Amino acid sequence: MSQTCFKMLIERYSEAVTNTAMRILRDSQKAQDVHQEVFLRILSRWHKFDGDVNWPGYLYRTTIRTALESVRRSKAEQLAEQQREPVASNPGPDWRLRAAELQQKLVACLAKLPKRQADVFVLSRIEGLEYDRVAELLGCSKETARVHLHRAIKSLARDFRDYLRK
Amino acid sequence: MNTHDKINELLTTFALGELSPQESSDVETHLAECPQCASELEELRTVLECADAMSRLSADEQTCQSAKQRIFEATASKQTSKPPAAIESIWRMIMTTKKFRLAAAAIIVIAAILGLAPFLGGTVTFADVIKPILNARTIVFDVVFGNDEASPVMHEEVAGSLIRRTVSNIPNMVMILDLDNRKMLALDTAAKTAGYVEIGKVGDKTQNYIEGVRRIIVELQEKKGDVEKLAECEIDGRKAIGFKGGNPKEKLTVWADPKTVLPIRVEHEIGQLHIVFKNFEFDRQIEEIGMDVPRGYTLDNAQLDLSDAAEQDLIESLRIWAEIILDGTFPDAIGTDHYMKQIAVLGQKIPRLDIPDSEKVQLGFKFGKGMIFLQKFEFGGKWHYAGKGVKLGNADKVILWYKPEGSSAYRAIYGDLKAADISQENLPK
Repeated sequence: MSQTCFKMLIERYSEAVTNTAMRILRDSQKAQDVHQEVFLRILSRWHKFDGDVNWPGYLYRTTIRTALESVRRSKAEQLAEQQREPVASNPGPDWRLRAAELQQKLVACLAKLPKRQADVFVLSRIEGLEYDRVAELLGCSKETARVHLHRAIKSLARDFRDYLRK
Repeated sequence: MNTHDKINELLTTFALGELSPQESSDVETHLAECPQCASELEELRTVLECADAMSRLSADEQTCQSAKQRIFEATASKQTSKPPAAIESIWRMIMTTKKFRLAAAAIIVIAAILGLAPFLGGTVTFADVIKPILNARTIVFDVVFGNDEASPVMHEEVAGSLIRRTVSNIPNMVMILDLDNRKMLALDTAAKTAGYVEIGKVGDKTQNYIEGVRRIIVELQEKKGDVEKLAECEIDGRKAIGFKGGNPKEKLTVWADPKTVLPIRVEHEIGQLHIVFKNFEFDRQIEEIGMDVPRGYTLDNAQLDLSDAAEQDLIESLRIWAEIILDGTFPDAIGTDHYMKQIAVLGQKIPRLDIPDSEKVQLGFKFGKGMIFLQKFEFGGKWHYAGKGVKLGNADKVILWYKPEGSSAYRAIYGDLKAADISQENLPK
């Protein structure tokens, strides 16, 4: 596709990509890095795209996966592991207050999920999209999206259990 | 499966609020007596609450702007067009090389061997016919405004954001537009004079017509199923297949040759304007488009600025239309298509006027600037022209009303060319 189409793609989706990355990473610099990586990745494959691309779906998937890759790369997982000890020896009511810490743990757990489950969880619970839209974006049925979401929540809760009980 | 296991299986669905009232009640009863399930539900809710908190985050405007700026800077020097894939290279050979153009039939056979069914006119889809519009590095075509095929023809050569434009009823005039830098270079090829014009943001929607087509195509790609396949018909003696789609404000129809899968005619309806694109040539070798004044031309230093077109410019153009073109009466209709037709008439009348040359240049410019302002609401805004037969100076008659973008009030222009706000109930039909 032409250079002007690429520009148009940036104009149209730049903000959505930045926002999704920001929600996952909670850091504006990292969100910008992901934004950069997503569009450069598209540019490097530009000649392969034809006129029939589901851009919102492609961009959501690429943004989520790039953001989670960056989590893995930046050893956030390792950081979260280190933070296991000081959190709480017994889960009391105050652990709910550690929102930022919990979000960091959730993202680290998300990065370990199968890609499809992570995509569905982010789209449904963090981006707040209905099953219909999630299915449309990911090119699957509504029921498949629902099953992936349930599995993702169960896996994440299991990870949280280990984390909170340590 | 015992009750505990059954209820345990339902906990995620319960946490998501997706159970029926009866099932929810069963789960609640069990939770009151099962600490394990209660604890697991708490963990599920923690995950959901955590995600909910994350969903409320968003990047601030500065972060969004900075991210966009970074990618524009990073890609500015990169070439997006990579060595073409098989079909594109065949295409390019046909379009650019005389020898291969003559051997097009043979190449179509090669395409068949490569399994490129659309090239042979198999099941041609919308995605197939729009490819050249989206992919071509250069597009050459003609544009006609309105439904009157006898209207002036605008000939365009487009390479990215650079456009070389000529208009059939304005001889010896070449316009070079640089839409990235929002400038136009106007060349009078007879007098060998050149002038720069600031076009400002008017370039977004009203100057790059093919970009408007691309914008709708991208929109349509996202809303699959909204493109209607039209019955086959004949266009300029050629069999054509068509696709139509759009939104409440704009409609796009693409007609293509089923054998070559190349677009042969595109119709773009925006508000009350109908634009027809035809005689397409994709990826043709064109003379380089540059913004430098060519050798042998004299630069006219008159400051011309189209970027601030306002209501007063439209009024001035209506005055010129009534006073100079039509001897005291407002035209039957206005719009880009009508302006385009009148430019040549004005061009013939201006030299006969007894005014200094500098004012003559300004007169033509003011007429065009009025059209630019009109285009701000002509493309999808609310407006109505009622000046047919009205004499210049008639203060009782509203000749034009329109609703400025983002405004809740209407504006009216009267026959004496005074403008004022007008309530919706007083708008003339």
